[in-house]
Amino acid sequence: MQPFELTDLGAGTKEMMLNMGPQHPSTHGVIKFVLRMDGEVVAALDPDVGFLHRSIEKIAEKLSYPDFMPYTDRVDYVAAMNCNFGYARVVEKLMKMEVPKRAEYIRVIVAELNRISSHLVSVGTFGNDIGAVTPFLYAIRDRELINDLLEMLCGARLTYNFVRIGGVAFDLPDTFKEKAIAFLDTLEPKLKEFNTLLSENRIFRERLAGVCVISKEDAVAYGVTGPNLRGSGVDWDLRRDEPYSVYPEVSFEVPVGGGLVGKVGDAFDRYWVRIKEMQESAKIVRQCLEQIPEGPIMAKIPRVLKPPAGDAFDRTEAPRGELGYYLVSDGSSKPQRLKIRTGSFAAVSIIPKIAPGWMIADIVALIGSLDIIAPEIDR
Amino acid sequence: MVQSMKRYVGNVGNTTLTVLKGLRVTLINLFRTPITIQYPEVDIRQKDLKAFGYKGPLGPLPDRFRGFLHVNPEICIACDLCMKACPIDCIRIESTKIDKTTIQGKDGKAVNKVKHPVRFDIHLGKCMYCGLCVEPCPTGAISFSKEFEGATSTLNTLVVHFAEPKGLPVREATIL
Repeated sequence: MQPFELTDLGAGTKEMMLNMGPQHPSTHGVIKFVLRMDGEVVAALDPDVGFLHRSIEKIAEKLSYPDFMPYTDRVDYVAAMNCNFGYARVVEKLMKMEVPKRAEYIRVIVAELNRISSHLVSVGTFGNDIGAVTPFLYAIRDRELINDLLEMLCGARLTYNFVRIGGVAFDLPDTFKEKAIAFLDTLEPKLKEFNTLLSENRIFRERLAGVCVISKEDAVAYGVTGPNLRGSGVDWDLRRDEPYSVYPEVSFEVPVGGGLVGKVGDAFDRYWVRIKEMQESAKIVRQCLEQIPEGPIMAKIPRVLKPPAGDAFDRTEAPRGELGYYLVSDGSSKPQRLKIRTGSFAAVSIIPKIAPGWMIADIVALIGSLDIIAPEIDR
Repeated sequence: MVQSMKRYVGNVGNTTLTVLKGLRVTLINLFRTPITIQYPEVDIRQKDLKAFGYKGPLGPLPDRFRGFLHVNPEICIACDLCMKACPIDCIRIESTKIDKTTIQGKDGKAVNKVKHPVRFDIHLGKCMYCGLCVEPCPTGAISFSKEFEGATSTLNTLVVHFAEPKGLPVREATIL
């Protein structure tokens, strides 16, 4: 990576180059930002990604279709269920496979539970970045209950490897429904508490009001998706606008940023969309637990999966934006090429556009509010 | 002047009020049951955590918990399905032919056993606990245990030999 050309500002002062990361606590993983600073103000910013590259896309070419499933956990380890879900869907699309209804419901339940836990981490660490350390512990405490639920379901707490091509690995345990409903009952008051602690705090609000505004046009032009796009005021959610799985059978609202404390598309809007989305996800899980039919959880699939030659693209709404898998098959038991499109990568690409003119402390707020996660950028 | 003064005082008052509201939440938590499990003292492998004095909402390890892999070589039919299913090749099986016996399978059906494993190594250092090997096993010979404490001082001990007779030389962990 080329260092910046530093200009002389006159009167014996010069611009400064600053390395932020790769071990900076606000970057949530190993990402480096190279900043050209004019005093405290950012003149230019260049993200340097690739520290967490594990060549997951290449590994896909070396493994058979079902064997790749554990690796999708590692694409975004905070929301592994959603990544499992997306990969299973693209292979099913390629093979034109029908998935049993019950399996689809279980998939949506786990994906939405995982969305809640991912957003809890997001808002908690965002508060931590801004300087409010206590709410982080509250968020992690609530996430622990979701981890327990999913551990009861599949045995793992982080890298679940639960969704299978053609269904899911396990059926819901007997006590799952009541435990999940008990958790959702506690989530609502806990979120209210969280809001009292952080969202309604005057210092927190003033700190984020009007900071690092991403306009509607910029967000669309840079391909920003997910809560970051909705925070900018674009009413777009794949679960509603391009419905897949059993999302058409449940009713939920799509929260959109409306400039609650400052301008539309500021850091607080992106944060607030996530808080609202947790409540909507809780609604979806409740409805799914009510409507879930009996039946098989796996479709009949051949022992060796050999999809017909061709390609397929499928995108799902993951907590960090649209998660797209593009799969090319040559008719053998291994994929010829797999491309993964993640929301965090697009979110990083807009940082150099927004950053100039803001102070370095605001860059921390920008990165935190975009909720980028390093493994998803590099894959 | 008076207007801006009023607004300034109002802002300070509002800030203090919201901070105090937040502090009230933290104060309430002082009197709640702690959620943390004091892990080494409380044995989370046991079903009943209340016996250890834990009152919080978290539970013990569930039945489906994915701990270290465990193999029962007596009922293993050396079909190599687990070895083929493993994405990172951390299982190695070698077998000999034996006289035909039948074994009760996982789904209740009888399974013929014509081979017996003479070597069944699992590299626990490589294993990512995905569970893909446990699913195809016809007899349930390979399964997850509830053990998870894996700290060790030598790499060799990470390769677990399930089928070997005792007294053989310790293999290097890199060779599998």
